[in-house]
Amino acid sequence: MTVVAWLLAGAGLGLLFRAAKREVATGPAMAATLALTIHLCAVGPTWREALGFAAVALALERTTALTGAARRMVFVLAALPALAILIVRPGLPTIATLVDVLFCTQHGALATSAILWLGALGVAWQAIRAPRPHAWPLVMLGLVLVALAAGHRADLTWRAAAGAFLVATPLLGLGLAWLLAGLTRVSLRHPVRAAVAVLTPLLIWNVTLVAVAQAGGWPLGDAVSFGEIGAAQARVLHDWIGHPLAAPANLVFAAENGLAPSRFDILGSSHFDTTGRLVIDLGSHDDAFVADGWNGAERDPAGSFRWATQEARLILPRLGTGPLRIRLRLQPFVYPQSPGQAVQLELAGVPYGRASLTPGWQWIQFEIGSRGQSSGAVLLTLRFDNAHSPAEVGLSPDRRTLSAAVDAIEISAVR
Amino acid sequence: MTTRRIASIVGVIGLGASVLDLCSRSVLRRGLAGDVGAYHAPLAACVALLACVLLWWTLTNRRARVFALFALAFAIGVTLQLRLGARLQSDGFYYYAYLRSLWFDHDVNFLNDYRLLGLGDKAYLFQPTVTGHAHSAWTIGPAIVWAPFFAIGHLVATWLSAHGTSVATDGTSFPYRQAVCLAGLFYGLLGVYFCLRIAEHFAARATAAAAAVLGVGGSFMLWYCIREPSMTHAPAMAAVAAFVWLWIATLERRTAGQWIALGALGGLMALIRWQNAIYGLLPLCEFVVLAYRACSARDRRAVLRLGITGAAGFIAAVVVFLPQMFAWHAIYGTYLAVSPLGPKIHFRDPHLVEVLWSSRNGLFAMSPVLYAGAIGLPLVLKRHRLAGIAMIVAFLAMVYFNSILQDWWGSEGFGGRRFDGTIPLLIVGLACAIDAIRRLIARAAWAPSVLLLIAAAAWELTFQATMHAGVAAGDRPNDFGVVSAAQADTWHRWVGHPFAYPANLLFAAANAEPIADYDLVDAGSFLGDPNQPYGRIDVGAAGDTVYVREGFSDSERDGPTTYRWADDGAALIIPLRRSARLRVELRLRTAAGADAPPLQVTVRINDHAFGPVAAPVDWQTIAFVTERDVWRTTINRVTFGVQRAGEAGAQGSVPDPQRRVAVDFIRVREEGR
Repeated sequence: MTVVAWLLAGAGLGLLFRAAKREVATGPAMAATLALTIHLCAVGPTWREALGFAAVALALERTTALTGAARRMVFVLAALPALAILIVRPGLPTIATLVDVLFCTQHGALATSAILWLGALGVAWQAIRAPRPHAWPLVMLGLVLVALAAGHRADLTWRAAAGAFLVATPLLGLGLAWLLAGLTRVSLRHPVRAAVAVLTPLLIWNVTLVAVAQAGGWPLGDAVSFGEIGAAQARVLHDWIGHPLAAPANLVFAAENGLAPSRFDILGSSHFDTTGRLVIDLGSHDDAFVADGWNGAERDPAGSFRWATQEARLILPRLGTGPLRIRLRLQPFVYPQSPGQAVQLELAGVPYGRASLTPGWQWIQFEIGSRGQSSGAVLLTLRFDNAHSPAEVGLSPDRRTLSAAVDAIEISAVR
Repeated sequence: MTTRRIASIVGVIGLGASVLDLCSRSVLRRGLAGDVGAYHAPLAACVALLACVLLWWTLTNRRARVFALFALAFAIGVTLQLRLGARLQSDGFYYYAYLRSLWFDHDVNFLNDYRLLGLGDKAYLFQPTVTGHAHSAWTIGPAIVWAPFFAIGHLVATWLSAHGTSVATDGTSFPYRQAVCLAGLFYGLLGVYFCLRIAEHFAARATAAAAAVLGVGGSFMLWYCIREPSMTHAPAMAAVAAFVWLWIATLERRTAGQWIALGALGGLMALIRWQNAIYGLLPLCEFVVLAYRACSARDRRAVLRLGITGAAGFIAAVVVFLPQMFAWHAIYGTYLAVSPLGPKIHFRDPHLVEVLWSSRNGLFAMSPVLYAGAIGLPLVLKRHRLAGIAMIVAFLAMVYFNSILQDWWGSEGFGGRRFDGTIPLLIVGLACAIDAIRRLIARAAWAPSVLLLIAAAAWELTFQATMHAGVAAGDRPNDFGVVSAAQADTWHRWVGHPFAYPANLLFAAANAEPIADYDLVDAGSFLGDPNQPYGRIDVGAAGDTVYVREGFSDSERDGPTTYRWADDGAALIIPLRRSARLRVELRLRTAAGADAPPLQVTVRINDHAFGPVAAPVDWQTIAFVTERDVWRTTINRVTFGVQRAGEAGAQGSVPDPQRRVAVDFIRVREEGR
């Protein structure tokens, strides 16, 4: 951060503190401001981004200082820049773009910041709790979001997206202060529940420890590194509930597609429309894509791969409606007198051609024409003509059913 | 009939049917209505949940509501047992051998039972005792309390066998074994109930209920209820909980009958796990205080009454414990026996810190919620001074006892399993801790929200750290399963395991080692076990990074030998539980074929140098003896100085590929042992 950016950000934080203090008490306002400072330091804004932050913080400070018609006037004035952006870039953004701005695991503002996520929760909570006096920050946040979404690109890096989102951050700071004040009130009303809530993470810790032990995470009775165990526990929890900061988008995704919420991380944030290319390296970081019909990940000097059974499925993110080219690198399971192998490819249940395989690693290609609109994840099925286990054909004691080893799948949009 | 009544009948039928269905899935391996898809067991649990909700709203009687909740917990527990594959395993076989032998053979000679249960390969069990029996270091109590469930298993096995299913009816088939697993869950929940009743003496009902749920769900007991229910821990906890409940409920105003009942429960808990006799300290403390009061008041009648009722309680305990004494007599020829198979007890070698905070099944490190319970235990003193003192004494006595066992970590167990009997005490402590937190929140209501904010800030900081480390990326979607794992690891590197405080803080301060290293380094210390006066670091093998420090290359392999190249100044650490006169053995070699003068190795242990000795060209073990004052308790730093013959050593200089030795292992062994 440059000195100018620091000064602007500091001024913005000061204004935010004044605004929050006016809405709640000094304690929550101070805590929220401090938390937001951590987020600002993480982003490290440029002076332009810090200027946007300070400007919105100033608007917020003025708005909270006013009442009645004057407040509404400032609110309208503050909303003007967002409306202006919409005029410059006509057309309302889609829900998918809004989800991408907030919950994408690459650059989603809320999915990559616990502080902002809590702030958003605070804004929503306050708007529901007292809609008449306190719905305006939610509306303002909505307008800023729409403006940001209008200029959003799916290939935006986290840093660029976080910098752009700084204009919305003072509103979330206010939300954070509200949330803290609200939780304080709840704690005061229900101190036993609050005390139990403080200790409940220890119960969750133990339950995940049981799950890790059940999965063979460490030999019982041996010394463990709690770093490794903690990592395994975090993975278990993620498998169960997904990424908490991607909620509610990941829950909606899970309900829509019948998948675990944890799949949202990779499959939910489809950037295929922009990048036009998706590469899946089977056997390496492929957990999000792999469905049923695959054996475990393997590695040889040439790279990683997985053996497919007779019918193997992959879950792909939203691929748009345009024509596609799908390439696969694979080699069939071959043994003495093995019959010829061929594979048929299906996308979303529709067959799109068949290819014969020769022994050894090879690339095969399928051309997919335009398809109907699909709102969520897509199932890709590879159906092989035959599959046998090495034990069955007398090669080795291996009893796994094998049809072909698949190394990589490349999907590209045909422009 | 009112709608409410109809709803409650529907609830009872739903709950009962789903519990029966789940039990049938466990013991019969099929549901009441046959198998309807893979999701049938969870479906039955869902029906139980709905029925329980229905009952909760329709029933007004508190006991009935509590019973419905426990029935639901049982249904969920059975579902989890089915999902996790709970079965007779581990030490469960040895307790089970009593049951099978008593039921079918009417004796305690396990020669046939061990073989029938698949333990025929364990030769040490079959070394004949003085009475010609097979050995057993295990107690008879679990067999006694499992017996009703075993009887149901027998009925099921007989019925299945009569209807054409190939099931053995000799006590070895699955209906018997799974019935014992259900028994484990049942007694675990019975223990929770008694814990709840105990905690209600010290805290409000809601607080007590929360403490009971957190204490059992947040500790190793969860594992022993749903994953290894055939171990003795669930019945042991239930027996101690019943004992503590009766003790608390009749404290300072116990009748003769109640003393006898208390004694009988005491005998039962010792029958299930004989070390549970330590909880006899609870009434003993009370007895001493009451006797002191009566003596101070010169109330001879009270002294006499106390003496007689106390003695009656003790006799009742002995009477209930008689089955174990008869078993010992049959197996070992004496009424009080210590099996040679049991862990050795080293009274003068307690592992007090390890048994609580070690990453090797330390009580608090593995079950953090019990840490909160232990912190809350002194708060019991404010509620009832005598009860608080007795509970603290009993808890400390159990800590000491578990710390002097040869395998203080409880062998291949989950968490501090041998502390099963302390759970009722720690749940009381937890209830007091929750109450203390409640009062704190009443004074500073902002505290929970600030804690939440701190957690959010910690998440943000660790996320940034994973970004810097390249685990999380800003230019592609992130799998937060991987990212959150890296965050957890990062957090651990920064602050260590919070539930191993203060042991890991002291370790880090005393040894200037990273706090995160406490987990493996301290637990991997040598000379901790009196039966193992040696230690070995296999350099190059998996897990050697716990000991290897700077100056070593990546792991390599030379046939069966794994090793690492050590530069001049390379260092490793040897953690010792105690200093001793040690023989040090090093297996090493140098690179062959060099024309230069031979390499010489100097080994520096802390401030003491040994050598130089000529480094062999082929693998060879060099050995030397070190005096006791060379070594320190905890971390010892061993540095390798590698020089050419005739040149001055320059330890810690820039690594020179020409001056390296390959190290296979370093072994230390106590001289004369």
